[in-house]
Amino acid sequence: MSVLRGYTAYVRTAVAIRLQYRSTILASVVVTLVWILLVTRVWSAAFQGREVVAGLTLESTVVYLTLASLQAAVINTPVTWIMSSRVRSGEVLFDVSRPLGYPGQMLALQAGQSMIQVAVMVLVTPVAGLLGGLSGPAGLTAGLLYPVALVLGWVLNALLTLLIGLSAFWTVDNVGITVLYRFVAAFLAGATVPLIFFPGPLRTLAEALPFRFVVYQPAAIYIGQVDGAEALGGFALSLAWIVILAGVVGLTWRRAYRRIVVHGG
Amino acid sequence: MSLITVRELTKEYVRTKPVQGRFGTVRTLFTREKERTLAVDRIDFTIDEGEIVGYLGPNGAGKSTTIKLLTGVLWPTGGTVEVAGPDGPVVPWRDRRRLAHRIGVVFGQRSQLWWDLPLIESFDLVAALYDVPADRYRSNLARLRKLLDLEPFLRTPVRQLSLGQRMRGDLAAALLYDPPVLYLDEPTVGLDVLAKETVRGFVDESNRSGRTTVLLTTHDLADVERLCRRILLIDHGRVLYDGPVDGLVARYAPYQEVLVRLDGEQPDGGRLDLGGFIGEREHDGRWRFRVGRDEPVHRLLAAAGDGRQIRELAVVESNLESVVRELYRERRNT
Repeated sequence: MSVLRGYTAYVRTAVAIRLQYRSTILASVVVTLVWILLVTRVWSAAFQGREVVAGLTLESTVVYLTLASLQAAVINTPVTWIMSSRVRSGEVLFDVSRPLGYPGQMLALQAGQSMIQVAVMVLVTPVAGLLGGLSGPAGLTAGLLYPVALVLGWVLNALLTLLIGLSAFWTVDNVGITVLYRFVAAFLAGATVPLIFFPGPLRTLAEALPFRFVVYQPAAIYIGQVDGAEALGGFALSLAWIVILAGVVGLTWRRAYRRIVVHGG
Repeated sequence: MSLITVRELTKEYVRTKPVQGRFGTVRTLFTREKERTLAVDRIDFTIDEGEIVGYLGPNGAGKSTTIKLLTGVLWPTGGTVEVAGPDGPVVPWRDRRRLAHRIGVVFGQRSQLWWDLPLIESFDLVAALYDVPADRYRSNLARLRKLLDLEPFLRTPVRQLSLGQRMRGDLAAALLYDPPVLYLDEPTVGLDVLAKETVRGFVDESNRSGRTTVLLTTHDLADVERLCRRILLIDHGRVLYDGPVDGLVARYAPYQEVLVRLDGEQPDGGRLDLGGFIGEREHDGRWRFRVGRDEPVHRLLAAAGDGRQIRELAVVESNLESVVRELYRERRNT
């Protein structure tokens, strides 16, 4: 119980910090909405009046892109910034001397920051639907599986983000690798282009990596591109990735801790 | 029984030696040459419950490294540390979670408070992290609010606090969960006279009424004179002195200095013999004599009166500051 109280407090703290920067939240909303407007127009033009491309209708594609753009907000990585700035300033010293584990603390901070991001995206969904296009889920099963897929995707992304953040213990500054991660992850997750449009080798690569579970899988389940059985297979695979990544995070953290040098003073 | 036991504690930093010259940055990436720095070198000491120990040494002596080892943030290269407690001894870097409840840490140069948030929210977070029961949190906070006069800025974002206010906030945060041990790393650095006195008064009070055991590093020897009965002096990672404050002065400065200005014609040369005491000429024309603590000063005076008129005389007691200054100077010369 006591441990839970600590983590919950971290989530609350992260929410409070996020709310201090309302202009950043506003900017992310504007960027997402403008992006949805642009990308759905471009794709509508690309279909050139055809009904179906690569087995996907224009309507489904537009719904996919609208959802994917909203979901991609999850690939935000505020905790990498918090981690590197605390390593640089030496404040990590306090994090390490807490009665809770360091990776758990950072995960809780990421969760708090994500909560605001998600809440905001849910709030602007009606507007996103107007600018892009939205319809109900493909069916009852799709509607039920969608939130499960979202949660799995969030956990996967959080673990990947944590790994990126831990690089700060080696390089101090992790801004470069964070930017790279966001770019690669968003693309391979299918946030800008649905995976089924990827050419052969690129698609093989994207399917071999875990990023697709963050954006593509939930959105594809929603529009019925991925059916129940395939979705469950995907969930099993996501869970396997989560177990692997949690192990990697644990090992990386142990190495990071052993080579810690607290900067300054 | 001692609360903190440090045995043979050693920390060596190893880092890749940067290559100078053409393409130095790139070549550094491939070099195998390592630079080793022995920051803490086989340190031994124990601290008893209820003590306030001053941990002194010049910049780079290994003070902060020791504190980091004691807080379990750094792994040592060798040796061990044990912090005693009701549920058995804890080795800091092996069991940080159990250690966490036993120690509070305050660094003058960095803060555990969340920059963007009102002060009270950092307190709430700390209370939750250490699972302080609600009623105890309430009473502890009430006490700290009064002792440190936190009321006026409890709801102010930390980034808007003055250094003195922030320091008071950090002290409160470190003691919210009643740790038996408090590590203070330069807690008065950069503070004005009044703010320093607040910090000292608070540490003194926590030690008296709360039985908090304190290890304090500082460059302000007034902190030590006000708070510590015992000091540990380290340099080059080794303990130079461990004992009472007075003992250090007696050991390193077993004399007092007498400054004398003579009337009339000044003797030639830089040295002056007065009744067996050898004086050295100061920049301002005065003569500086060292008189042993057990030697009577009047012998010097009697000799001075013998044909020479003393116009001005000052006896300078050696204090902690003069001793430490002397020690640091010797170090630089070796």
